[in-house]
Amino acid sequence: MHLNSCQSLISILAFSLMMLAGCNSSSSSDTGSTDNGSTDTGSTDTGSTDTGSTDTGSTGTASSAEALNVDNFVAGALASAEIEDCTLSDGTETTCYRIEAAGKAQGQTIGPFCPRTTSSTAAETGIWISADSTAQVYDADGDFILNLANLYNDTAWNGLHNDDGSVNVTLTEAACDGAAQPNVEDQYKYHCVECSTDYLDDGAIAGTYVIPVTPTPADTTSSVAATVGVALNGSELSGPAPVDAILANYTIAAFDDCGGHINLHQGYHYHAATGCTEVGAQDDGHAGLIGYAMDGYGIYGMKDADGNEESLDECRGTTDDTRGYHYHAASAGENMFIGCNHGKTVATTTAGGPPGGGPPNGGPNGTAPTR
Amino acid sequence: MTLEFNFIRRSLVLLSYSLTLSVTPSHAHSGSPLGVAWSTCDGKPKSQACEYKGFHGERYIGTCQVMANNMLCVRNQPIEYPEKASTDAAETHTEEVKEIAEIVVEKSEKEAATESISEDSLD
Repeated sequence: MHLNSCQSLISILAFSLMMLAGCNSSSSSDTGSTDNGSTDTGSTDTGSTDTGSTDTGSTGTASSAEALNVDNFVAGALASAEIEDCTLSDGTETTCYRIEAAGKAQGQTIGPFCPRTTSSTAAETGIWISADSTAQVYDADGDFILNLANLYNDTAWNGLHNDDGSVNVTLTEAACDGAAQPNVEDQYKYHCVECSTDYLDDGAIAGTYVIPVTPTPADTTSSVAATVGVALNGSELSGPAPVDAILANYTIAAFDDCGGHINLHQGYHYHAATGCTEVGAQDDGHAGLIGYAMDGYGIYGMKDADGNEESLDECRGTTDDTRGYHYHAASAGENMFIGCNHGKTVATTTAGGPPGGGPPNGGPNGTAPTR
Repeated sequence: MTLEFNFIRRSLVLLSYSLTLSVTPSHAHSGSPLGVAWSTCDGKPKSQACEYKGFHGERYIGTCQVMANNMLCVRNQPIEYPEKASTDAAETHTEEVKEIAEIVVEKSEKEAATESISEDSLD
């Protein structure tokens, strides 16, 4: 009887193995796609400082659900939010919030970014995206550094690490400044570029955002500017990163796992939505609120609580009864948050001042924000 | 014998789950091919439909929009995963295997219990 039990169990085991082996083999071809959205992009804002082009002829009224609600911001994220008169890009006179954001990513731990050695693990580092036709979001760990030459099909990328396993990282303010710009100084090529909030006064660069109190749909959509909007934690949501330009200098400008990084002109800012910034929880299973675009409409995460996406308009927006018109951020790997401005933005002359001049391209190779 | 049986049963369940994990698609790499997202809109006017394929064959469908002074294909439809159907099938298959394994184990456990009672009665 004992023997029979063993035989039975052996048969079960063999049967299970056969079945599972079948599973394994049948799934071997579908290991891929499963992106859950997150890696986005980053951007190193390129240049353009217009607040969008042209919205003419305003019409339409926004529902109260669409109105910017400063109570949605994380406590401590804003220094102030005052309502003032403003002029939209089509000449419409209205009222806007002048939001003074601390720029500290309130409630979030900033970093880490670059690996220090080729043994650094994903937990010790941030993320990066490729820019060729196989672009992906990668953990910027030691293995990633070792694989760069293969990834970009260029052995010059081996220059980022040394025989002793160390990785070239911009670890000083001078190095950060020399590398986090369009014309990377020669000595900082072949580096993983990262900057520290220690280089910034009070650990951050405050930003001013002038955003319509109540968004107004434009007759025609307009292109997003270098500054897409402001996150609820008070840091900037930036436009696409010029990844090609960064790679051309044999540098990578690693983001932290929340999709942000630092330069001396914008401070800490986001190029990708990886989930960290969805702090505005919704009661109905809708994706969380990330922040507000410069036209005043809310930007939410890509997927709802069930992991579903919906069809959107060309700006990546949609409308529902609860939120009115709103945007959904793209996946982290798509190098953008939204596709265009659905609403009218504030005319440049009243859009609030950037904190200081910077190189024409953002980034860490970036621009001083026009907000 | 009961201890021995439990050990084998637990090993079987653990093995099943371990193998189940091995057939779960990797989430390590995700994203869109940035270069293609830009080049696919070269020479196209704003708002024109565009589409490109990602690293794993997924489809990104949207329209061309001005981004950083260039045209970029901005996706506005959910990402389409061509292999989703086969992934679902694999997951369903795995669930079936787990269910079968658990049923068989339960049956064997009952048999073992019956045998144990019989042995005890013989003693």
